[in-house]
Amino acid sequence: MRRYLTHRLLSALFVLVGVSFVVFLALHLAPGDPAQVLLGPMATPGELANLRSQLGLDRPMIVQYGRWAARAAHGDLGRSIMLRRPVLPELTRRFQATLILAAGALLLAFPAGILLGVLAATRPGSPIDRLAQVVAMVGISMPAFWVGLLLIIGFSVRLGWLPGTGMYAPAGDGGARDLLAHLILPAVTLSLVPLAIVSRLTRTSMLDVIAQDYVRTARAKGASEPRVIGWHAFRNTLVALVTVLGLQVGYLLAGAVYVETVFAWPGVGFMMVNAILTRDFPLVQGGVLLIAASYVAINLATDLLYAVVDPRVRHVH
Amino acid sequence: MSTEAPARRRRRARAAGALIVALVAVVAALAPALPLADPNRTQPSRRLAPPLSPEHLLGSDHLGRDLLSRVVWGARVSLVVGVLATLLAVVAGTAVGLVTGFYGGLTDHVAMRGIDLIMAFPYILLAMLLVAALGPGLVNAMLAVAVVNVSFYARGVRAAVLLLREQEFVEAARAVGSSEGRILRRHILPGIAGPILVFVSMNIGVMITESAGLSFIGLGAQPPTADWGTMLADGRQFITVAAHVAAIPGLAIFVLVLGCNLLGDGLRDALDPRLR
Repeated sequence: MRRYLTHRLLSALFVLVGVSFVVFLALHLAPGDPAQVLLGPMATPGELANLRSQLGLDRPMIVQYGRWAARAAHGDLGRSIMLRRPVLPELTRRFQATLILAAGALLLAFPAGILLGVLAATRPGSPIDRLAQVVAMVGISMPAFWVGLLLIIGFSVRLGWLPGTGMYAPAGDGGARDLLAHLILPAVTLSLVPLAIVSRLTRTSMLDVIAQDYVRTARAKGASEPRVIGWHAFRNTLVALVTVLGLQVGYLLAGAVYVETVFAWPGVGFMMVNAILTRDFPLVQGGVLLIAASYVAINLATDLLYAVVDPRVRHVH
Repeated sequence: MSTEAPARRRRRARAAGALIVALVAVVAALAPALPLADPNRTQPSRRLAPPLSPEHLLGSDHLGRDLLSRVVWGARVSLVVGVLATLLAVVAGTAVGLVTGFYGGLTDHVAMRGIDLIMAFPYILLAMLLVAALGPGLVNAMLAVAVVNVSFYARGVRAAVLLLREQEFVEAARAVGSSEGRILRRHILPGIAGPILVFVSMNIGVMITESAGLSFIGLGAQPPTADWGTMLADGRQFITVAAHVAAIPGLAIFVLVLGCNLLGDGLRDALDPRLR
């Protein structure tokens, strides 16, 4: 286990360094000279050269990357050009909003998806099984930004039951009730894809497990059906579910981009779309780095959890 | 339990998917010949007409442009972008997968670490990063979606090649003195065509949604292009007075993607029974 842990930690570190290099490189190679942007079109070549050397833009790229990475490692992600504020505090504030949204979607998708998948697998060919398959197919085919708009049209504009934009009411007290009311529609929208995937996966792996000999043995021994399903069969679909949980958390952090845009939810995704459109590169870099780093961390946690759930994993190399 | 009913349902689902995709493709191809209004002609006096109004079967948008015409012309954009992005990703991914899987060694090692790196990014995030670097626009959005998917195809193809490489007929070809290029062309490539088709059919719907999504957030197609994602974004501002302007293009994306996914599921069942 210890060797596995070291190996996974090292490779996560490698990926993290690589990710930061890709982020740096992508925006470094983007057209547009920062010195020119800062000084405007009237700047003389001399002034431009001066500022470039001041900003370190005339140094070899690897040196520039090193300086940027060293500062980033100390939590200094630079200043946002548009907001004229340090990037990091803004990012952490936005990240909290994204996490709340993603958590809401997960809390909806996993229980509902698992329930639907188990019901479908234990009654193959029944109406509920067909329903599960339709939900899975429709869920992955509907674009989230469209579903979000339909929900706003239905529940905010027509019925007026729930707020359709933002995280808190402008004149509200900013309390938990207000947050919850604002969270419902975006969380439902974001939960559709994971709901589809979880129900489909649960159904297939349950069907697989139910056909195994040990399940037949359990039945033959006279174990009750709930015990067979809940204890023997479901436990073995957990491994697959843990993997998908990790993948989905990563998906939710980034997939929230569309949902946040539709609902004007003040998360990282919404912020990054605006930052890209205004070419606010420090903010884009910081945002990508933060989400990619949490994605790497989640994948690491998933792999470790995987090793706990399924001891065989620890020895495979 | 009889397996006939589900099999029949699957066949029906596949046929429905094929029908949807074929219909959209035919309508998109025939768009210039159809008796439709100019998708970009604005008529301020007829703005936000509801569906089923005279002259505007699906209504009109905030500039008085005919929505039916824009949906039909938008199908061209979505299909072309989806197909081109897929082709790019397939060609590049297959090349990487073939070389790494067939030759192995250091190339394989380096390429696979690179692919691990790409996969360390959440999918949408990498596409956004690329668009940020290249600048917003339809072509750049398409490139971004393609690049993000290269890793998916490279991995799949590599796995398939690794299996094929050890087969006896490849060994036999080697024994009779076939060159490596010939083995790749004549023996490996035909063997991976099936898996590639399965990947494509499962992936093309995602590509279409992704490109529409990038357009929706303003990073893809730019106005006045009749593109489903941009139309949805335009319609957003008018959901209180004319919900159909946003609802209709979204419905179009949903129907096309559903068609692709139904067809993809069916193809996968037919071509690769193991994945069922």
